[in-house]
Parts: sequence; structure tokens; C-alpha cells
Amino acid sequence: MKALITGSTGFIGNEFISNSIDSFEHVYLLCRKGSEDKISLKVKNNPKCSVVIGDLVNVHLSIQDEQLEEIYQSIETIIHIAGAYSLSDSAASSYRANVIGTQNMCYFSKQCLNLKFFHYISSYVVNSIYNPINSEDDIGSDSINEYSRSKINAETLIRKFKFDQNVKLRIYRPGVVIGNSLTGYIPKIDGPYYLIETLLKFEKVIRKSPIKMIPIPFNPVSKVPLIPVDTVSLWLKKMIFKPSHHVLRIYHLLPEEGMLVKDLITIILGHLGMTSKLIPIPNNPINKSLFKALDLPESLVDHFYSLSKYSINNRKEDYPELLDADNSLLDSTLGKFIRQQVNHD
Amino acid sequence: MIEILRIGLFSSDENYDKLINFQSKKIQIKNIGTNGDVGLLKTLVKDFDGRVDVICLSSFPCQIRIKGKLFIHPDVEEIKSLTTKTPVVDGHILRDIYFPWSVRRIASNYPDVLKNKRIGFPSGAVHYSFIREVEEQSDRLFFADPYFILGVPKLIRSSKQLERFLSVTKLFISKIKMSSMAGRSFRETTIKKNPFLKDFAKCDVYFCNQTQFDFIDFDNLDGKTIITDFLSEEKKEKLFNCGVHRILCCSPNVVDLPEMSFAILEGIFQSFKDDRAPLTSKEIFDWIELLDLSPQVKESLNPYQKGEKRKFGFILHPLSRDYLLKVPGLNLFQKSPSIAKLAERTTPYLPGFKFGKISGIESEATGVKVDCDLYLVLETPKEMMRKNKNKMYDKLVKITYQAEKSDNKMIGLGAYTKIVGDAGVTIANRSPLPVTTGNSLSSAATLWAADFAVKKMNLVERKSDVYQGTLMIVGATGSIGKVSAKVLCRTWKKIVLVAPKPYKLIDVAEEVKEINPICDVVYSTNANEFASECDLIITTTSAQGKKIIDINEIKSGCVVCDVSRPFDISKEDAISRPDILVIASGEVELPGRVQVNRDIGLHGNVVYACLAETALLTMEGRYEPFSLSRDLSYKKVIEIDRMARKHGVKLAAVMGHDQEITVGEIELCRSHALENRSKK
Repeated sequence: MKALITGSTGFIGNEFISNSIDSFEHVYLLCRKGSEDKISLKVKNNPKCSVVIGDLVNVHLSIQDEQLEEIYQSIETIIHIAGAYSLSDSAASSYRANVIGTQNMCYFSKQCLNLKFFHYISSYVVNSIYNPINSEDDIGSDSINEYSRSKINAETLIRKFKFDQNVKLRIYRPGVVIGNSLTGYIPKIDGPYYLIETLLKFEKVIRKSPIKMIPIPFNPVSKVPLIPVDTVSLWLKKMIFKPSHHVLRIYHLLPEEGMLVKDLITIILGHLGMTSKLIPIPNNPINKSLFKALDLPESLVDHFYSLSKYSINNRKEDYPELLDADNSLLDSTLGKFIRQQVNHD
Repeated sequence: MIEILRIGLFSSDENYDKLINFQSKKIQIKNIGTNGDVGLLKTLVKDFDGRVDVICLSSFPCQIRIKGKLFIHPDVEEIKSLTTKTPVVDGHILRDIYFPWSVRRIASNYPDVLKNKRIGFPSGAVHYSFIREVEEQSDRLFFADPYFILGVPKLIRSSKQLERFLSVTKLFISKIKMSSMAGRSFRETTIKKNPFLKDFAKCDVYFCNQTQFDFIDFDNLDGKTIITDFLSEEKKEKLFNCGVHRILCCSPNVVDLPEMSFAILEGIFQSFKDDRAPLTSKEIFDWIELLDLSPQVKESLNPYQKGEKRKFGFILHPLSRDYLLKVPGLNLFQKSPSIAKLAERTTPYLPGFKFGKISGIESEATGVKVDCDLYLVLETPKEMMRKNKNKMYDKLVKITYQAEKSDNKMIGLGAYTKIVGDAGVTIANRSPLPVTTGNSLSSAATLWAADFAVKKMNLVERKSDVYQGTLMIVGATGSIGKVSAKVLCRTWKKIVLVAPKPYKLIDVAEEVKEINPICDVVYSTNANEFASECDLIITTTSAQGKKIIDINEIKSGCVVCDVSRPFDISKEDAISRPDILVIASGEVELPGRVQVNRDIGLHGNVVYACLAETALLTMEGRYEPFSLSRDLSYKKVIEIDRMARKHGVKLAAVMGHDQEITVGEIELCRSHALENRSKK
């Protein structure tokens, strides 16, 4: 399989390529000028890999003409992983990378003569946090932040896009992706890691406090669909190389049962060696301001109170052999990260 | 390659990229919607500055010039100043030339769309450049600007008021954010809550440009016509689902894009320029000439529309004292003739009122359902003729206002009400609704009856739809006579025109010749001269019962259609010649399951021809004063005949002097004629 992969320098992309480059016939890794150094030497020196300098923000991806022609002729698969991912991004940067980037990739796919598959990495945030159960085909209309809004727009756009007749579209919606379960490594602070940072910041205060209780805004029954990046990458590899017959298929890449927010915080506190009891604060209008004051993304509040569940029927039906993500892995993954952080400090 | 960015506040679902060829240049067009986010739009415009050749701005109100004052939305001004390399266009120059031009075209090509209609503008300000054109067509304009722009539920009803509103609120309006207008609700529930908007919801036609559709929220547009600039298939679908009857798009067909706009087109023109300087009107004119961009109006009708409901009014009056006394409540006066006479003299002082309803009329072609409100005035013909005609006008005009309030689209004048004064002209001028006398269909029905009788008699040879016999029209210079001659000259080989004044006859003969040069047209001042060779005679004179034609001179087997009142051929004369078929008129029936909830002397689907004409015009959506005054136009008769065939209005019966003529009677007459001819 010859493929063009975007976002290869990113969190999921990097992991995915390192794991699966050998299974491809050839890959073209699209990356911005100056970012090519982020690709590991092991990948770069692989004869199956060509690094293509370009930019998703431009219509023809700003790829040089000779290389462009070769790509148009040869690739059979596009794996579009690139996107701006941050809970605190501005509207413009999210829109630019996620909506315009995806729009350009769609247009690009039209020029590829032998294209058969377009794999698009969306996110579970395109679901509505108010739906009790989100099926794979649903798409939310309400967004909690600029990131989720841009992901909703991008997925709507790609689902509406008229691909050539023989092109099949796959959409993957990973949950909250956390670091590698073996190494604990995560390239940047995000999602639950914000919480770790904040707790680290207030470590001394918490330890010295005579009352062994921490009030935190969350719903005791809310769950977050955490998933380690290596599981996402493994599943992606399986799904990309063994596609089902459907023309359009959407998968949630997350565990059937998310982790209770309460458990998540307890695990983090445990790794920090704290034993304080958690006091859940009911949802109220000042929560967001409180999070802001603590340097936490405001939209984390919505996740901490969300009662949504996400269907994984498509994954179960097409890939029954894939075991559900193991929540016990999360403990060690976060533990490794926290130890690194504490040692670092 | 030229790269153009079109950016606006519309939904990002509409984003697309497309490569087009234009004037042998390749143009890459990128469409980006920011989902109503003005801040995002500004950032992206800065982002694309220098990366594309032209930026086309959509979704913002175009600049307008009212009485020398220029209104530009402050956001537009700001966005235009954000770029240093790439020019930003908003399409206003092209739009101000092209749209008013197209509106003129609509007024001439689709006269029924605007004439005397209620016309609504969600925002009149952006359409200001052609409001005068529209005002020429109808004086019932409704502008919802205060509501659309400021959220104040108030309607403006003339362009003058609009000017005043804009100049008073100018400072305030310029500070309003675009996002505050998004989702302005014109939904049924909102309108019910805001009585000020009711009149707006009643409009027949709306002018709304593509951009405004992104801001307006609506759910019920049953039977309305929308005039717009550009419309994507998706938006069209949405409008049709809301019940819109017809959409007229005034857009030049230059390039094939999923979503066109004047801004893109202007952007394309701009991209051909070497410098950043904005396009001038002169350059736009050059383009218009080069591309031959004369206005194109594309009409699309709702494909799902079945069972749309419309209403019209019809004015009746009792035809005699007996009929008057049948009116509910007046039957008490039946007791003695003197009381009845008193009733006849006094009831006309009462105003007209809504009397009943006809329902269930349904077009065979389009499925449009039409109801009729019957209005009654209590004058008998005698009283009506005696009454001062101005008082009669006042009374009838009052009814038209009443009818308009009950959502009727037009109104028909029944029986003698169409004879009063100038035959409907004054009433039509003063009425808020289009008025028709129904004379065109009355004439058509008579001609149908004559044709039916000739066919049933089956004594005239027919070659390729032309009767190889002779037709005589007595009173050919009169209104009905002239029309009959002009309509029938296509289907008869020879026509004899008879009238007392030869100089008038010559003119009519020439006009008939012009319509069908092959037809043999002769004229005479004496009806008896050609009576012995005619197969059909139509008499329409004002001879007041004087004998114009000798019944004994008429050819055996001839059909005589006597339209004159009193009759030219008396009942006795008719009986004396059983081999001649004398008919008086045709009655028509309406399509559908017609139900009348009052006794007005009608049975089944059969109605007066003038009522049927009003029903037909309503079905066709031609709300216009179709037949007025005593002059009939033969083109209108042919047109109403076409409409009748289309919608299923048919001849119900052929009427003799005082009753229906059955097919059996025609057969009998035919056998008499054959016997008579064989004797000779």
C-alpha cells in the first residue's frame, strides 16, 4: 500500500508511523518546512519513506511540482491525521488546521488517480456531550470549545464531500489520548495532564493543609474515555490494513467504559503520594472561572460533568478480535509520567 | 493560475474548492464559511492576504446609496482595510447594475409575479437600488427592516418611510453587529406573537438575496414566490420544503459553481486586472458586453407542491325579487307582494356581506386547491340600475377590502355588478385586490357551446381542424362579435361579418385577415343575404328584440348561437324551425368536488362562467385584472381557453332559451335537418 500521511510529526502520527511503516509499500510523510527534524531518524532513513515538504493550509498543499505529480500517480491511501489539537486553541488556529486543512486534503484526494481509501482521524469531541449515548453516525451540533467546533465542522465537511466513486472513507474518533503505556511519554501537556500539572503546582498547599480533603468540581458518576496512544496506533494499523467492505465507516477509538473522573483524580493523587479525600462540587456557573483561575482549560469542566457514552458497535462488529482497551494500563501510564515529572522537578 | 477566496459568515458545510476555466485562464476558487464568526473571518482574511489574488466577501450587506448618503457596514470597511496585498471585493458594483435590470425583466416576462401583489422585503435597505422599479408594479410593499436589523417588530410600508427610517437610525445601525441579526425568526410562532409582522407574513412575493437566507429563520412559506439573486440547490430544496411555490433566480450564468454570488463574479473580473485598484462601473459594463450578461431569470416551481390552497372572492346579487326573498332572513317578506316590494327597495341600504363559501375546487393539472368566498349585495338588477353608480362603486369597493382581509387573492364581479358604470374599471382602480369581470371565459364558454353543437350536429365537413363551411357573425363590430370572429377565423373556412356600419366592418375584416390570411372573409350589412349558406350563426346585437334575421332564410341544420339579450331569435321563431338548433349560452363546470354551502341556484360542479374565470386565474396564480371594461381582447379569450383546458374547467351544458339542450334534442334536430335537406 502506498500512502500519503499527514500529521506524522504529531502525537498520534508519530506513534502510528513508528509502529507500522514496515507494513507499507511506501509512505509519503507530509510535513511543514522546519518540522522534518521531528521525524525520527529511524523512520526517515527507512527506504520506504519519503518526506514531502508542504503545508496543509494551501490548496495544493504547497508540494513541489515533480513530487506532486508522483504522489498523484502513485498513492492509494490518504491517512489524514494532522490537526490542531488543544483545548485552549483560538478559533482561527483550530479552523485553519482542522477545517481548511481537511478541506484541502479532500480537494487533494480528487487529483489522486489511484486513490482507494481516505482515512481521517477525527475526535470523540464531535459527539454531543449532552447525548446519553452517541452512536458512530451521530454528530453533535453543540460545541464546548473552538477545538470541538472545528472538529465538528471538519467531519461534517468530509462526510458531505463528494469523493470519487471508488474512494472509501474511514473516520476514526479517538477518545482522550494519553501517553504511551510503556514509556509514559507524552509530547505535550493536554487533557488529564493539565490536572496533574495543577495538582503538582498546589502540592505543598495540599500536603500542609490540616484538612485532608480536596474540593474538585466533578460529577462522581462522570467518566472520561481515556486511551493510551499506543492502543490507538495499534487499532489504526489493524483497521487501515484490514478494512471492512463499507463505503463509509466510522469508529470510536475508545474503551467501552471510560474511567470515572473520581478514579482518575484518585490515581493521580496516589502517584503524587497524597491521600486527601475528594469532595465533588456540583456543577455551577463559577466552575469555569475557577478552572480558569487554576490555569485549567475551561472546557475540562464539561468533560468532568459529562454523562455521555460512546457506542463502539462498529468496531465490535468489524474487528471482534480487537480487545477492549485495558483501563488498568492507564494507572501505570499516568504513574510513569508523574514519576518523570516529579524527578524532573 | 489565479486563486480566489470567497469568504463569508455562512456555514462551513458549504466550503468547497473548485478549479474553473474562464476566458482561457485557470481560476482556483476556495469557498470558506466561518459559521457566523466575524472575528474568525477577519483573522482568516489577514491570513490569506498575499496568498490569494482576490478575496470576495459574502454575507455582509452591500453598500447602499440613499439620497446621496452612503451606507457601508463598518465590518466591511474594516475587513477591506485589513489586507495590504490582496484586493477585497463585495460584489456591490455588479449587483447594483445587474439585479435592478433583472427585476425589470421579471416585470415584463412574468407580469403576474409582481403586478398588484403584496411584496415583502426582509430588508429593503439592501434592495434599495430597485425599489422604485418594484413600486411601479405594486403599491403594497412591506419592509421588515426595523425587525431584521434591530429586532423591533415594526413594518415599513413605502420607500419614503424606509428612507426616513434609515437616515434616522443610521448611526445606530452602523454599530450593530452582524451576529445579532443571525437567526432572525420569521417563523409562524414568532409572527403570531407579533401582530405588527402579520402583514409581512401575508405577502405573496419576497425579495431576499442569498446572503439574507443565511440570517433568516423561517418555516412556513406556503404558496409564496421568492425572488433572489443566487441560490444553491440545497437552499432551493429547503425553500421548497417550506412550501415555496416558485423561485425566480436573477443570476448570470457565467461559471459553474455550487454557490455563485455577485462577489465571486466581481472577484473574477477583478483578478483579470493588473492592479489592486477597485473595478469601475465602466469596466463592469465592458465585461457585461463581452460576456453578453443580459439578465437571465430562472424559474423553478416547487416539485412537491400538491394541494396548495388559495382563495378568491366573488360578488353576487339576487337576479330578481324572488331570489332576494330566498336570502335567509328575508323570507319573512314573502307574505305579500307589497311587503316584498318594500323589501326590494329597502334592503339595498344594507352593506354587502360575506354570504357563503364554495370549496373543493381543485386543479387537474397542478392539484392547487381553491376556495371561494361569496359576497352578496342585496340590489336586484332593477335597483342596481336605478342607484347612483358612485354609491354602487363604494359598496363594491368596500367588499373588496373585506375580501382582502380574509386572505382572498382576487375578486370576481358576478351578474349585473360587472355592468355598473364602466364595467369594473373604477372598482379595479380602487380595490386592493385584482378584479375581473369574467367576460373572457363567458365568451369562451359560448364559443365552446357553439363548437359542441356544430360537432354534435355533424353536418359540416372538417379538414385538419378547419370547418369547411361558413360562419356568420351578426354584430361583428361589437365587443363579443369581434372577439368571436378573431377566435373562430382559425377554425372556419369562410366568415361572413354582418353589422350596420360598413366602415367599421372593413376594419374588423382587416383585423381578421391579419390573424388568418387563408380565411375567406366577406362582410355585409344585411344578415339575410348570406343566411342560406351559413352553418353557424352567432348573433350578438343590441337590437332590443327587433328582427335582425329572418328565421325562414336560415339554412337547414344550421346552429344559431344567440348571445344577445333580449334574444334576437325569439322562442316562437326557434320552435317554428325544428331543423335549426338555437342555443343561448354554455355553462361551465369546475374541476374537483365542488361544494356550495348556500343555495345560489347552482348544482353539482356547474357554476357561472365569470366565477369560473376568477377560479381559473387563482389556480394559475395570475392575480391580475384579467377582463375589465366592455372591450374584450381575443388574446385573453384564447389564453383563458388554454388555462381552462389545463386546469380542467369544461363545458357542462349547452343552454337553450330557458333550459338545457340535451344530446337527444340535438340528435332530433339533426334528423329534422337531414330530412329537410333530402326533400330539397
